[in-house]
Amino acid sequence: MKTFDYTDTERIYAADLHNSNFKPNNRIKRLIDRRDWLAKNHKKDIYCDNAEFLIYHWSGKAETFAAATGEQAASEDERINIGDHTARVDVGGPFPYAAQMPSKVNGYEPTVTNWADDYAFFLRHSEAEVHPYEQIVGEFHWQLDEARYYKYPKSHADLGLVARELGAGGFSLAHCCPDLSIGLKLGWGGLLEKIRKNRNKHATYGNEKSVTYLDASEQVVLSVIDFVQRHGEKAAKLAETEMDPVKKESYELVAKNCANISYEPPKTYHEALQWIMLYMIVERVNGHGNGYGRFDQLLIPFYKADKAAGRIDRERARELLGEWYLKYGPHLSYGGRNEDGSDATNEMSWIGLEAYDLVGGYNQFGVQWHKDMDPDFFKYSCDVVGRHGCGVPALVNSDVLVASQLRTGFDEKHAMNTSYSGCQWYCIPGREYQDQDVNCIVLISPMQRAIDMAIEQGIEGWDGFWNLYCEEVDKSGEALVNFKNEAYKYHAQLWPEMITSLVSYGPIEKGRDITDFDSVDYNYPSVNVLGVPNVVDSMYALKKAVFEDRKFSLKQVRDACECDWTGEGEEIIRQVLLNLPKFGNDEDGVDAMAIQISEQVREVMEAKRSIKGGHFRTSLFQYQGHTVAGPYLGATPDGRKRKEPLAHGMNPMHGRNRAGMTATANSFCKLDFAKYQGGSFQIELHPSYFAEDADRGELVDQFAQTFFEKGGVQINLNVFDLEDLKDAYDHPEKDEYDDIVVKVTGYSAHFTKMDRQFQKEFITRVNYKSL
Amino acid sequence: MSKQGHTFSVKRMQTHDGPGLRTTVFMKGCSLRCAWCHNPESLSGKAELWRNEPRCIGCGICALDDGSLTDHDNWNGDPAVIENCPAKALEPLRKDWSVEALLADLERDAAFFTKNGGITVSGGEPAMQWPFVAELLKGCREREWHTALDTCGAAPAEALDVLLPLCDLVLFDLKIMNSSNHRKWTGQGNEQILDNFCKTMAYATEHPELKIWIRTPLIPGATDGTENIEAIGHFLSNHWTDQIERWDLCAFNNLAVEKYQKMNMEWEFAETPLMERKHGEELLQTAIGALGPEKYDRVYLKGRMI
Repeated sequence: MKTFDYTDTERIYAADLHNSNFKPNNRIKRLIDRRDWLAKNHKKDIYCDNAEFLIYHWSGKAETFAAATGEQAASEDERINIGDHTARVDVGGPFPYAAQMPSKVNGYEPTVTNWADDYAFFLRHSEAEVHPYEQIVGEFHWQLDEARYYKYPKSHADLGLVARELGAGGFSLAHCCPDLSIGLKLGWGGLLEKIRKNRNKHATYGNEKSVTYLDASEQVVLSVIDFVQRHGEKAAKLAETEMDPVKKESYELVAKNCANISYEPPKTYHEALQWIMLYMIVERVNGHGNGYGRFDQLLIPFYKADKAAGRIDRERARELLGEWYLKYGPHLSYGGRNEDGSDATNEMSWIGLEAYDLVGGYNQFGVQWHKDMDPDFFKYSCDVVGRHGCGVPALVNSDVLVASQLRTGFDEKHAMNTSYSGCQWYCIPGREYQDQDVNCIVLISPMQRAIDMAIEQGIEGWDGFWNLYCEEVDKSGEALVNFKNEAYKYHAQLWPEMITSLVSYGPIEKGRDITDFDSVDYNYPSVNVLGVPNVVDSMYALKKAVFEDRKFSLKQVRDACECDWTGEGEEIIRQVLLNLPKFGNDEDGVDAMAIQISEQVREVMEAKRSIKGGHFRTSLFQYQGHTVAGPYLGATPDGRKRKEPLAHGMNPMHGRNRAGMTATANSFCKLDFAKYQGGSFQIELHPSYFAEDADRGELVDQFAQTFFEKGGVQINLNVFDLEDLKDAYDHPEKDEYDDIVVKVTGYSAHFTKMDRQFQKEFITRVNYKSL
Repeated sequence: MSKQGHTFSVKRMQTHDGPGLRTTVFMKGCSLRCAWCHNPESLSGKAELWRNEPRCIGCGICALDDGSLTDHDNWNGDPAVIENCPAKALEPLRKDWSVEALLADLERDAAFFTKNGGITVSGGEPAMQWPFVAELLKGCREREWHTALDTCGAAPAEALDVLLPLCDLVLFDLKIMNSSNHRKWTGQGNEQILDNFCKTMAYATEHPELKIWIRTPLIPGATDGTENIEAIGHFLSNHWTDQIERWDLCAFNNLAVEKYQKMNMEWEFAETPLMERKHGEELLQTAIGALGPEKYDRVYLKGRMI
């Protein structure tokens, strides 16, 4: 089936979300079915070039994720499917007007003007998609990098290869969080006027650079206004001839809403949701997305006004937000605190969760717990994640997020407004651009260099070895900083983020893109660290078996690693190293090593500055490199074989957490997460963990609250039977598993649609049971 | 205090042995020999070990590589054998604790189980080590942890006299009402068990804060006859107090096959399939009928069925 078929109503209406507390109406059922159909038919996949991209977050080919089509597309046999983690809807083939792009016709230049000309052309040639039964519209099929040249100068790539050699890499694109309240208040017309006003201001002072930027920005906004208008016009036209009353009514609603918001700001809840949806579309065509902030705070004024005027009730609000999720449920947040510290939970927070409860499946939002949160709301959040079992919502400790922002140097008033915005990261909406989740240091690499050097230099003691390790970590960090700084020199001109800039604090006022120097308030680049638990386990094993007990020499261990433990007697060495205490079992000795290793890399990065001014922030997380890195890095002294994956984020290495999830939780919480930029705890629960009549919400609530009180920062909780996933992996032809959605690392995806390598890693995880 | 207790397992964050999240202490040594037992390593109170074959790399260091060797019987108790196994394939089945050491171990999860949950002492039969268990439960009480005792009832009466006052909840197994059948399947008649049950109920009458959960395993051919479930239902009905919060019918599971292999023991249920859900539902109705239909919401059917 090439396109989705709306006519099989018997099948669609029969579909029931058995886990839901709310019953979707037939219109929503059709839209749920279309969402699932798109995912199952690989219409929502996102790709990267190759394994190196996942490991180092830079492939050396594409500058970010791989373009799906066009000249810069990755080769089909090399690219890796990260899962249905995108808003893009694949309709096959390249962007039809790629050859007519202004930069192709008139010449390419890495400037904001050249970029904006392309963007405006691209959007004006993007079709307004209005599908039957939809009351919120917006969809895109191509990204700008499928049509516009996207490459940094060679000097950048050269530094990238140096960094790669030392185990580091990264890109810069999106991964921040605009403040949508700016746009909801001004509308596209208000934003246009703001641009013009600021342009004139800068013109008065002869600030040409800002004038150029704002002129470019004006082109972009005009194309957006046209894009929104065309949705309204198309819907109006469809309404004219439509006979089916539900479809007709839907088209009419879309026509009215889009006409209302093409220039003016949204006035109703429904218009606000439509505004955000189209905002998201025009932003994400730029290549990737952002988090979208505190949704309950953004929507509550609209909901309240509608309710007071009798225009809406809770059920309708739930239905519309559920529909909004079905298009693409991005990272955003509910809960948290108000600026004065009080609980920010409101009726919209409830509707946000209920809307997910209505439509289920794939989604990315998080709930920000804090000590003073409405306990019923948090319990409901836990109930939803336990009942649906798809890792939605992510449970996040708001107080730790705020503490970490404050520690970094943020204003308290701003920090209180922090919003969970991506897999493991969080932002102050509209005020930061920090490369969240896109830079990486592979910590295995400096460790391996230190081992080689220690052998060469005949180092006998642990302290000497540790000093070498510290020096090598510093070299990796330095290489990353040099590489990133080279990117920052070009970023704002080469690939600006004008849509995001519109709804942030500073870019329009200053006439500088959000990616530019001195634009938004906070620029502390984030860096993911891959393989921390493996380095912890390895270093602990070396310390014990080599430097203290002298069971083996460092050379013996290194040589055994090099031949993947295949030499004579090396399996015994491996077993001895493997069976020493490992991180994640609440054992103080090795857990202390976890603190030492994490603190060391954090201190190294904190001591370094980007040319934008801020220090680097360490994140104890890396989203997918662990699945493919094994063969590239070789065996490690923790007893890991070459082909095995690395540990996922800060989670204990697969199969090594043997003392149960509370022990792992205790190990986690020995780290001070306020010092890091995230470090999620991933839990895969077997359904039998809960007794048939158990109150899942109650149990998850109890665990999560305790975890957070101990200082944990984030829980991603899946409920599934690993045996099912193993069977799904072994039998890709079986379609009975197509509905299984899992929280992969910090994002959700359909299990059977992920790359097989990812699936394989997933099924080696510990599935906590209770028998 | 010098009392030593013997456990075969301490499992953290359990949800099936009482309310909320719990740490369950499984004491080693049992007074019954139920043919269907899911924890064969719990039966003997002796120090034993088994070889976890998938972990064994055949290095020969333990010198226990004779395939016919029943490791757990022949081990002389020398801990070096276990320590020297590089792959940790030789696993000790008994851990010996002082009360203080065990309490310190439990303490690590206290933050998790104190909101709603606590400690369950199970087995084997915990009452076989009642002096130790009593000290353990006292320690839990001092820390204001919720305490549960999971017993098969086959224990000296004096053990219950000591343990009941230390419990917030008793999980009491009633398996088979006909004593000769009980003897056939578990190795002893049920007179002592029923006496202890009456004793427990008498104690409960005077101590309304004590809660009781009844558990009946549904074992194909052994306990899953309609008459047996009916008889247990009538018996419970006759001794009813509202403190009996639930009666769980726990469907047979076959997950213990591997354990029996590691123990080098035959298991007559090795090939027995899971119970059909329909049969389980019928027994649930039987149970409700015998107990009294007004108590329908106290009877639960649990476990995997087909």
